Order: sequence, then C-alpha cells, then structure tokens
Amino acid sequence: MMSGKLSVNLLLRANFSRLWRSASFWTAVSVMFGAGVFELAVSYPHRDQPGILDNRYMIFVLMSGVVLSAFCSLFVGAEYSDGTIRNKITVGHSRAAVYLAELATCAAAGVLVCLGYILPITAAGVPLMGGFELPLTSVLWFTFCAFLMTASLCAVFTMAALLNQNKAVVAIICIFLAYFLLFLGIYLNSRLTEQAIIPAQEYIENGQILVREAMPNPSYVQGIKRTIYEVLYDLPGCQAVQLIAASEACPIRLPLVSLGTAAASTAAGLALFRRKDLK
Amino acid sequence: MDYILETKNLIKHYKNGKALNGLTMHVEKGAIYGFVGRNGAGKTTLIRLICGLQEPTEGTFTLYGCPNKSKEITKARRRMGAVVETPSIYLSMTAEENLKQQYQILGLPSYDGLKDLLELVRLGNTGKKKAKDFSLGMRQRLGIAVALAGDPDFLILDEPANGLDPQGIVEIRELILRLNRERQITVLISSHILDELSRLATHYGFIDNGRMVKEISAPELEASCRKCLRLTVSDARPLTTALDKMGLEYSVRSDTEVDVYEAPSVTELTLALHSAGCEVKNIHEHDESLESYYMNLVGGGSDD
Repeated sequence: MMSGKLSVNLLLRANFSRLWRSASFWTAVSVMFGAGVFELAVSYPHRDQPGILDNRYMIFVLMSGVVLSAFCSLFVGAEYSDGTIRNKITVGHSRAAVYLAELATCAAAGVLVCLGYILPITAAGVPLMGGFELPLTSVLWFTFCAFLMTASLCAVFTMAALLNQNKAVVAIICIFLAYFLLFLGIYLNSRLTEQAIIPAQEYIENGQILVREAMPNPSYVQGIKRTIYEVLYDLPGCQAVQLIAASEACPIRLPLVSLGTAAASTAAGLALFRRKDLK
Repeated sequence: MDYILETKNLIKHYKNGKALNGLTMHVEKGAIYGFVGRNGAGKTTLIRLICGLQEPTEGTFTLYGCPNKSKEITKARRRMGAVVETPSIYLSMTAEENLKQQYQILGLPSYDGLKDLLELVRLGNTGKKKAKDFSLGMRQRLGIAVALAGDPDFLILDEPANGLDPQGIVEIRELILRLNRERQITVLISSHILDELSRLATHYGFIDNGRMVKEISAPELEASCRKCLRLTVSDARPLTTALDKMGLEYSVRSDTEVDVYEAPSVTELTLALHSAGCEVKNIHEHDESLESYYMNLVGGGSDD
C-alpha cells in the first residue's frame, strides 16, 4: 500500500515526463524553430541593413501566442480526453496541486517553445549577420518581457483548458483568443499612434505653391476612449505589438500587466476548478 | 463489522435533477461488492463522489473510517484505486509509459514491480505498442493496472465489462477474482451485466433512482432466490386451472410458460393436462436468477 506525502513536485515530474513525449510540444517547438530558420534565411541577403537582426529576433512574440494556444489546449485537454486527470485526483492530489502543476508545465513549455525560435536566430544569426544593434541589456529585457507575456497567455489558456472538458471547444476558443488579441493589438497600435495634429503642409496646385494649415487629426483617439485603448493595448497578446514597437525601452508596466494577468487568471481558475464537477 | 466504505444519505444534485437521492451503503472489507442498477440509477455518480471527482450536495461517507469532509480523506484515497467509466490512460503512450506516469504521480521511489504489474494484467508483451492501438479489453486491463500502481487495498471498477468481447469479460473476471483472493483487495464493481456480476460478487447493493433498494450478501441472495419448475405448454390456461385445483403457487410468464414454485406431482399434472387437451412441451428446474431477483426488486420500468 502506498504511503508518504503527495505534493505538486510529483505532478510536475510526471507532467514534464509527459511533455518530453508530447507530439504537440515538439510540433510547437519545430514550428517556432522553422520560423526562426525562415526569418534568418529571408533576412540574410539584407544583413547589411542596420538593426535587421534585432527586428527578426523579436518576431517570435507575434507567433508564440497562436502556437501556444494550440499546444496548451491539446496538452491540458488530453488530461480530460484520456481521463487521466481522474488518476491524479483519485489518489489524493489536491485540485490546487493539479492546477498549478499544469500551469507551471505549460508556462515552462511556453518559454521552451519561444527558445525554439530564439536558438537559430542567435546561434546562427549573430555570427552570420554581425550581432544585435541594440545593447545586450535591451535584448535581455525584451526577452524577459516576452517570456512573461508568453507565460501569462499560457496561464489564460490553461485556465480555459481546465475549466472546459471539451478539448475541441477549448482549442477553438484559445486559438481564436490568441488571434483576436494579436489583431486587436495591431488595430490599437494603428489607432494609438495617430498624430493629434496633422502638420502644416505645402503642396503645388496649378503651378501655385499652397499651404495647408496644421489641423487636429479627426482619427486621433482621446479622452476615456484613449484610456480604454491604452489599457487593452497592455494586455498580453496585444502587448506583443507594443513589445516590438518599444523594444529599446520596453516599459516596466508591460511585465507587471503580464504578471497581474497570470495571477488573476490563476486565482479565478483555481477558485472555479476547486468547485468543478469532474467526469 | 469492518467497513471500507460507508455512505449515509448521500444526495447529489445536477442541473437536470437528482442523481443520488439519499443513498446509504456499506462495503465490507474483503468483499467483492456488486453495485447493481440500470443506466442512470446513480452508480457512476456515487463512484465519482468517492473518488473526489465531485462533492456530494448533502450526506456523508467514510472511507476507511475517515469522513469525506475531513482533510485526511486524501490520505484515505491513497489506499484505493479506481477505473471510473473509461480507462484513464494516455493513449499516446505505451503500457509501460502509462504505468511509469502513475508511479511518478504517486511518488513511488522506483519502478520496481512495474513489470510484475504488467504481467498480472497480461500486458507484459505489448512492447512499444501505444495504448491507442490496444483493444478495448487491453485498455481496460491497463486501466486496472494503473489503478493498482499504488498497491491499493480497495479497488473501484465502474462497468469494467462494458463493450468487451466474451474473452475479454472472462479475462477481467479472472483478474478481479485473483486480486480479491490473492491480494485480499476489496472490490466495488458497478455493473448492469447481472449474469457476469453473479459469478463474482460476494455482496450486492441494488440501486434505483439514486436510492439503495437492498443490500444483501451472496449467500443470503442465494437463499432468497426461489427454485421453481418451469413448464412450457401449448396453452397456459388449462395448466393454471389444473394448478389452482392442486392448490400450488405459480406465476404465469407468458401464454405458454408457467413457473410452479412448489414440487407438484408431475404425473398427476401431465395427466390432468392431457385430459384438457394441453400438450406439455418442456419441463425443467429453474433457479430464480439475479436478473429476476433484481427485476422483482426494482420493477421493470424503462431506463431513465
């Protein structure tokens, strides 16, 4: 008969052992690795352009959300579709331990999937294309912020996957959410970077030089609407666009929002998962 | 009495109604407890509650004497293994990998005994074959092996014979009997395949509409099952007339079939039927089966 204390460490060990065997994990890593190699190949002819490696390096934040939405829903969803979550609860593991172990595994997998892209870009890109224009500290800070955003997205996807037992539905919801956040980020970026004033312009008409006065930009977002847009723009997913745009001085606000999102989704997910009727 | 599991007035509400409606049951140590009920009677719901997959709406249960509300219930659960509904196995893994997963989940210090466990469920030669390529019987046996990984002394099996071919059913039956006899594992086995259950169970619990209708041991059940003489005739009416005249207790099964519960004089009866122009086609002794006992107990209403 079994004795001894059960802990989240045991579940983590089991989860990581499963992760190394997971086809969805290695597919996600391969997709990102392939994307890294592709970016390297298409940018190599333009290697003399300043900052080209910096730009290519950062692209992974745009892809990681979508790739991880599929991975998390499949990896966590297998616990329900194969029924193996029952094995963990039945032998006495707490719901909190099961939840946190899944979250930690997915977050770690998220970082590893991103490394799948970073590896070819840095290992081959630095020697072939002459290294980064940005200071190393900026590259590391950007990478840290990107990893936190990835982990917070994984927290949201894990919550969705553990609260809904239908793997297909979860996959659709997560992939849709990842795309939605990305396109929302692109849209918000375009709206928030509108200039408040359209500058004065000189133009020629019928051989005469005419001057158009500076005027307020009607597309400029202001007031409460701007505040809402700015809050949404900080959300993980949307944040990816902002991280690339502000790479040199990525504001501290962004990793804090990522941490806050992960904490809030985990707290809500745990509360609901504890009460959930499992089948 | 030493009970492994006792439930008291367990109630479980779902959005669409009550699955358990004050269920009380007692599973003795060392028993093979046959949990009998039609589809939707509440068998799986009870198993989910015991396994901690769901919480009861009302009522309590004790596992090894430990109340379900107590924090110690998780420790008590470590002494049990369960296969709830379908076998809980990773389909993308081999049998050995699945067992290794469970060993890790349980925190067992080594994989000692893993091969023996695979041999016990006759999956020792599956090699690199993934569970998704297993037959249903093999998956069921692997599910039981996973449930046995923690060396439990209480095993819960939910409809283990469901969907199995006759050979698979025999294999599962032999495995359960071996576990009970050789390892002294108490088994709670839910099923609606009554014939199969009657070959295994030492105790029975009959559940209907979320309530325990009757708990009875196998010897008690055998004693209460009545023997009868089953007659198949060309027309049951002359037979019932003759039986009434002879003052014998009987029940009419169909227009041509009657069960007689007391030992009649067969010669006298056949002569009476011959004179009434009724042909006797078949006479044989018949034990009341678990099935008819169950039907008498819960009635023959349709499944919910």
